[in-house]
Amino acid sequence: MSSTLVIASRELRERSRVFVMAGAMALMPFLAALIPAVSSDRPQAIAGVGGFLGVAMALGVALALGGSTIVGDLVSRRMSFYFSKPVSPAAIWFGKMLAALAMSVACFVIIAAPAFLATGNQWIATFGGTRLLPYLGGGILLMFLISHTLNTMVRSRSALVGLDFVLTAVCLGAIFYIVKPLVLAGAVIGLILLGIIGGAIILTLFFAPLWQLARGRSDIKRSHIALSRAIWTSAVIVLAVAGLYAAWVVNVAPKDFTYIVDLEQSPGGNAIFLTGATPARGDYRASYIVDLNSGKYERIDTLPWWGVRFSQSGNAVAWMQPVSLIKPAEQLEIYTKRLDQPDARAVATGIRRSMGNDFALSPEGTRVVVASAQTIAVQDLASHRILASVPKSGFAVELYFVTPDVVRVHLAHPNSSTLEIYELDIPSKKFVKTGEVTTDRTYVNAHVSPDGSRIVLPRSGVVADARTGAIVTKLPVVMPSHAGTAILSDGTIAVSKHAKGAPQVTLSLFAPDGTLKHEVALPGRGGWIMAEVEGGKLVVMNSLGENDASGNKSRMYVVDTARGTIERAINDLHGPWNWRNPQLAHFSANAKLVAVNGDRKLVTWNPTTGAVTPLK
Amino acid sequence: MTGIRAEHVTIRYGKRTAVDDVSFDVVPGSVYALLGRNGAGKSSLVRALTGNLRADLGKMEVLGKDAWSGRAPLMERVGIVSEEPDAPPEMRVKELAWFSSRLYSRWQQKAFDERIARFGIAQTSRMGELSKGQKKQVTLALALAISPEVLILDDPTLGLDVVARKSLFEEVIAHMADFGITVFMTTHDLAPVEAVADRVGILRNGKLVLDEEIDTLKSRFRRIRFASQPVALSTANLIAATVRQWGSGTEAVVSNYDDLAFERFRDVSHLQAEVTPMSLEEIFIAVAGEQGE
Repeated sequence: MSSTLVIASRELRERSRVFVMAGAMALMPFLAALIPAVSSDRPQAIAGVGGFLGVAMALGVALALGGSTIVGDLVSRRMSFYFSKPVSPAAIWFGKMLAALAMSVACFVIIAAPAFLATGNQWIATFGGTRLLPYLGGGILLMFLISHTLNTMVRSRSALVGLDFVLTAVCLGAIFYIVKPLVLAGAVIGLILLGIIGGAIILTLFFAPLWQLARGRSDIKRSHIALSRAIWTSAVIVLAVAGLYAAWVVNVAPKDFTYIVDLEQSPGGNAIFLTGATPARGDYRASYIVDLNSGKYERIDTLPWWGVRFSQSGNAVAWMQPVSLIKPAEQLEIYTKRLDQPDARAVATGIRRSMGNDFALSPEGTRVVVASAQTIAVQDLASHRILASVPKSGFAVELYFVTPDVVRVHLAHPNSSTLEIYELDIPSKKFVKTGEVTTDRTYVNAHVSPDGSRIVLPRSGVVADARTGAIVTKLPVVMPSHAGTAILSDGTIAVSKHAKGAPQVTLSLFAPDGTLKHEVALPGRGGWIMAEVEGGKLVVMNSLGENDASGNKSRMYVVDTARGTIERAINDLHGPWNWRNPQLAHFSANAKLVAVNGDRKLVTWNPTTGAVTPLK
Repeated sequence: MTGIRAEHVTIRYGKRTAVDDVSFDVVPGSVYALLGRNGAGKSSLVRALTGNLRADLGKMEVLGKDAWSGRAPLMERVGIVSEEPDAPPEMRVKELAWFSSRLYSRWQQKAFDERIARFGIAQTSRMGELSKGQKKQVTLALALAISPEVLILDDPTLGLDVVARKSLFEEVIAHMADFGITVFMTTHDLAPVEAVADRVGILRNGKLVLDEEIDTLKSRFRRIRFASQPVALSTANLIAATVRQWGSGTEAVVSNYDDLAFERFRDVSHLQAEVTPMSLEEIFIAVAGEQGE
């Protein structure tokens, strides 16, 4: 028998009374089931109490033994008993730990097994069968290690314990700042890094006592010094490596992107929002606001799939940024940035909301409206003053400024086919219902005309007055998707539809009264309406698929909506993707749109001339 | 190969120096007694010797191996009777024996059983139930049952009655006679040391102030009582360890007594003087006590 097992065996014999206690505890679930209040469901009472007591005692034993099995011997000056024998520090540590863990597990088995045997399926239903065991094993190990470490530090009565607590706080702070940028960017790699740091800490707590016993031996104070040295040296190395890795992951520039995840362009054309992936950085996606005139960029910590909201003027941009590591999707703060001031930085508004609540900037970019679960609030961005805050009921599906002083809000209840329309008058702070529209389909996001006078509801094809909800007409086309519908500046309604198996998308162009003006066949699939360009031009993107005969994967169409013709088709180009606003992005005739080409590089392209230029 | 060797060993606890540049050798098969008052540094030296404490400076060797880095294999060959028995109080004597038997390749169960029987201790007794003397006897039985080449006794008779002391030393002496092991002991109990020790060292304030064969030591220390005072001992080249008034005369303890030289001095000076040999305890008091602390 190895000396490790000899020591473990001795420990088990010494503490065998714990098993008697566990045996007594094993009766408790059956006694609890005799209580009249639980007589209606005795199996559940037995399973529940048995499981709870088993887990509690297992963790409690681990906690108690962690604080006594080594530290108790050190404090009572009995550790020399082991060091006067031909046994290594490893045999002492692993022997004692093995016994402690075995006892903890045995206590669980002694208490839980009778309850399990008596209740069977009820136990499995309550505790998920054997799924509990890995968590319990991990919990027992963690309790034992933490208890051993804390007890060594505290019971040595050394002033060093103060330094230990300071370093603990420093390390926790360091971990927070290391993983924060990754977790707030929604990267699973942040959680993986957190897990690796946690694993390294557990490994350190697992092996540091070897150093503690090898250097400190039977002296509690020297033992404490040795343990602290091992733990903090390891912590510094682990956190330094993790910190360097995290810094390397987040330290990317837009030029490093090998894959563009999101690309939105301000209506003024002067700035883009860019989210991209880089090699060897897991799922971390960096997001930037890039000033196209100066080439300057600023990283923003928004989640990659949330995008941004540009003001209609293109003067400002707003986005939601997580502020909580624990619930990154539930505690978000609205940030804004001026785009008409070269050195403007991102500014926190102080407005916090949870995911799913929409927000929008006023046309000139000086105000932001934000919906929360209970309120609609408007803030002046310059002064951070709340201009209006009104209660609401229902889920805000869209909100947009009709004028700088009027916000229109679309409210709908889940699975409802009725859209309620409200207006918030900011100066008077009045929030009144102006109308509603009911269709034969469940409500999905509406599209709003650039002047805010009309809305078109996907799925049902209903075109209505944007303020009153009065139905103007019903289009004879069922619109399959949000991105395949738009109202243009001249009131033309565009609907793209791809029939299953068809080689092309049909783009239907309707007059404001619902009269079909043109139908344009666009080879490919998708029919995503990207933007309107001054002069009645509509930009539509199609996917050609991997096996298209042309060898291209996508194609951008510029359609003349007045004549109903394809003015231009450019292969392997896609962008910008401004789909999050209820109003279609509108660009001037000379605007240079930003897109991603077939080589996954950023380019600018002119929809009027078709010229494509690499973006530096 | 030496039994035990300390080379310039210094042990510190923070700013306090417990052992200060101590060097000594213990010849294999001999008995070395390290004496010193409480706090002199004996326990620190023993802890370094048993590999429980690393010397801040210097080197401690047992059987030619470093006591710190080679502790685990060395403990196979070293028996230890510690000052305070450190065996878990809930362990029974037979469990202690079982535990040791699994760890020591040279474990002798029969020798252990016989010794425990001789001590009159029941194998089923728990350590916590035994008297201090019995605990020491069990510890000694465990230490001797591994057939040690070196036996370290850290104040083995502390708190024991006269009978228990005698019994303990008899066991050690008998075992030494049978196996010729090296013994290193620290003790306050000087009477038995005189009978068994070959060499003594005296620690005072962490320094080894004396390290000598016991016979040589006893031969050079004498108590001299003069009828008058003062006495110019230096004229006889005698070094006084202590000098004090004794009645109307003077009592001196000299550490370099020589019969011939002293007789010449007495003849010349016509002084009335009484010379008496000293016990180890008296020498210890003179060296470590009155000049000490």
